Amino acid sequence: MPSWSLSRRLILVLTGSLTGLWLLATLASTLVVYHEISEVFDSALQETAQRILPLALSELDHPRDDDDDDDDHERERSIGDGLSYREHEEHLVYQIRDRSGRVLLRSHDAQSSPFPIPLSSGFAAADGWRYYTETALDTNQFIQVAERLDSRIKTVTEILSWLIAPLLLLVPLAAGTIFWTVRRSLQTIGAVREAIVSRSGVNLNSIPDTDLPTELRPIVRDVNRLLERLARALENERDFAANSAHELRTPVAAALAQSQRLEVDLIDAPQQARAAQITSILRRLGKLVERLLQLARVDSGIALSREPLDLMPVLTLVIDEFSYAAGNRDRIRFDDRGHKTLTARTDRDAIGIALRNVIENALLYGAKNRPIEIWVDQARSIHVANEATVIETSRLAKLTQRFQRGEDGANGSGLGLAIADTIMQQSGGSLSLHSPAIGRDSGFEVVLHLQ
Amino acid sequence: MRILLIEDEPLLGQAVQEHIAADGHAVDRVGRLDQARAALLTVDYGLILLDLHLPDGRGLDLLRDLRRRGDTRAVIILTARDQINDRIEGLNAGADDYLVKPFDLNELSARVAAVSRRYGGNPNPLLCIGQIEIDTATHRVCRNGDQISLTRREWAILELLAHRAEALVSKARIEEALYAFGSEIESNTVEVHVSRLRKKLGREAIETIRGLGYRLGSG
Repeated sequence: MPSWSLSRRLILVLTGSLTGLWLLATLASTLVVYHEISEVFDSALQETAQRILPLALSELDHPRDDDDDDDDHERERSIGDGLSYREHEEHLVYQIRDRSGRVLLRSHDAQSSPFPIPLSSGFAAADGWRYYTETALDTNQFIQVAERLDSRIKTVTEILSWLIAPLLLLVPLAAGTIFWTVRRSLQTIGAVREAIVSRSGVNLNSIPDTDLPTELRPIVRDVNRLLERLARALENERDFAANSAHELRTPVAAALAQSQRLEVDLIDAPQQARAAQITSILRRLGKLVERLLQLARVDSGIALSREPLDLMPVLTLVIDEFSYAAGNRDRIRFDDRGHKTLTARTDRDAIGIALRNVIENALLYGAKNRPIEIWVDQARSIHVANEATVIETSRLAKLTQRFQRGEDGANGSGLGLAIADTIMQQSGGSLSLHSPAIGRDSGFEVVLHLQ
Repeated sequence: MRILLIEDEPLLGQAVQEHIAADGHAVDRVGRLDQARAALLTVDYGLILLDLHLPDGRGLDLLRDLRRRGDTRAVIILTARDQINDRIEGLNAGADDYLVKPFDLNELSARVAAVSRRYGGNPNPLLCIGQIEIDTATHRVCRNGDQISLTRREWAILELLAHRAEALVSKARIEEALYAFGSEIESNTVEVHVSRLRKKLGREAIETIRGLGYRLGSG
C-alpha cells in the first residue's frame, strides 16, 4: 500500500468538505430564495391583474370621444390612451382579451398578437414569460398580465453572486486556518516520532509524556513500556553473558588443571598421550567457551553503549597481556606514532575483545617467529599486521563471517574476526582486512576504524 | 616460597596446589575470605593466589585491605572475569598479575616464578635491571656501579616498581604508597617523582604504560 500523509489527508478532506458543504448551503439558500421571490413576483403579477382589470373594463365600456370613430373601430387601445406619459420600458405588460381570444386592449410594450397561453384563470409560463390570467365573469373578458422570467432569474443570480463572492475569500482563509491548525497539531506527532527515532541500543531512555495531547499519551506510554522491557531484556542478556562466563569458565579451568596434573602423574605411563589429548581438547574447549561468551556479549549489543573514551590504556593493556605471555615478548611490536590518547565513542570491554581477537588471530595465523606490528595511524585507526602468504580476495571477504577459519590448519575457532567485525559495526566504526598488507607484497593486515 | 591459594573450586584448587607445590613452593589452600584473613594473620606468605569470586565476598576487598595496611606482598589474581574494566580494577587495587580462567598450569608456574624471583625468599634481594642495581634490603641504588642518592619518596616509588619488576604498577597504587608520607598528593605528583627518577636512573629505566601506570623497564 503506498504511504500516505496524515496531515495531507486532514487538510484535503477538511478543506474539501468545508467547501462542498458551503456550496451546498449556498445552492439550498438560492433555491429557497428563488421560491420566495417567485411567490412575491407572482403575487405582484396577480395584484396588478386584479387592479388593472376594472380600469380596463371601464375603459372599454366608456370609450373616449376621440376614440368613438368607426374607422378606428378595430384599433387596439390601451388604458390612458390620449394621456401623455413619458416613454418607458415596461416590465409588466398586459392584454385584455375577449372570449374568442381577440386582443381588446394592451399595454404599450405588449405584443399585438394574443399571448400564447389559453384563456383560463391562474398562472402559466411560456417562452421565457410568466403570465397571470384573471377573468371578469360578468363580461366574459380576460386580462392577462405578463412579466419576463429574466428579471426573477437576474434577481436570484444577483443574490447568488453576493452569497458566493465572500466564499472566494473565505474558502482560502478556512483552508489556511485548517492547514496551520493541522500542521501545528501534527508537530507534536513529529516531535514524538523524532524522540522514538533517536532511541537505539545506546539510548533507551523513556520519552517524556507530559505536554502531550490525550490522543498521543497512551501511545507514548506504550512505547515507553516497550523501551523499558527492551532495556531490561538487553540488560538481562548482558548479565547472563557476564555471569555465565564465571559459571562456564570455572569447571573448564578445573578440568584443564586436573587433566594437566594427570599428565604429570602418568609420566612414562602409556596413558600419558591420552591425557595429553584430553588437555589439548580442554584447551580448545576453553578457547571456544571464551569465544562463544564473547559472541553472546556482542550479540547482546555490548558495543552499543558509546561513551567517549581514551582507548590507549585498553590498547596498551591488551598488548601487554599478550606480550607478557610466554614467547610473545619480542614478537609484538607496538608503535603509538606519537598519539598520546586515542579517543573514540565505544565500550572499553568491547574494544578490548575486538583487539584481543585481532591480535590472537595475527599470532595464530601469522608466520611464526615473525613480528606482529601494531600501530595507530593519523586517522586514529588501529592497524594490526602480520607476515603471511597472500589471501585471495574472495576468501578475504569471507573471513569476517562466523565459523570461517583461516587456512594452514590452525586451530582457530572461526569466530575471532567475526566478533571483532560485529563490535566495530556496533561501535559505529568498521573493520577492514587487507592481504597483502597495505603497501607491501605479502602479509595480512587488519584495520580497526574507530568512530 | 610460602604461598596462600584462595580458591573455592576444590578440583581447581587441588590441581593448582599440587602443581605449584611440585615447583618447590609450600602452598596452603583456603576456600573462603575469612579463612584467608585468619591464615594471613598467622603465616608470613610471600605470595597470594587470589580468586575474586568467593562464597563470602569479593577477593578484591581482601586485596584492598592488604594494600591499605601497607602490605606489599605479591598477589596474583585468578579469575573467570576477563573484562578490561575488571582488569583495570584489579590493577588499581594493587594486583601484581592477573590470570583469566581457564589458564594453563605451566603459565601459572611461570608467573609465580617471575614473582618469586622478585621476592623469592631472598633475604637480601638484589635486583639488576640493565645497568641499574637495586638492593631492596639496604635501599641502595647503583647505576654503572655509581651509587645514586634518592629521596624517600623516590625510593618508595622505585621499591614498589622493583617489587613488581616486569609487571605494571598502576598510578593509583603509587599514589597510595606516597600517601604514607603524609603530604598532599597533587594530580601530577607521581609524574613529577617519576620524571626525577628517570633523570637519575636514565630515561629507559621506567616505562610509562599510558593511562594505566608504570613498569620498571629493561634498562
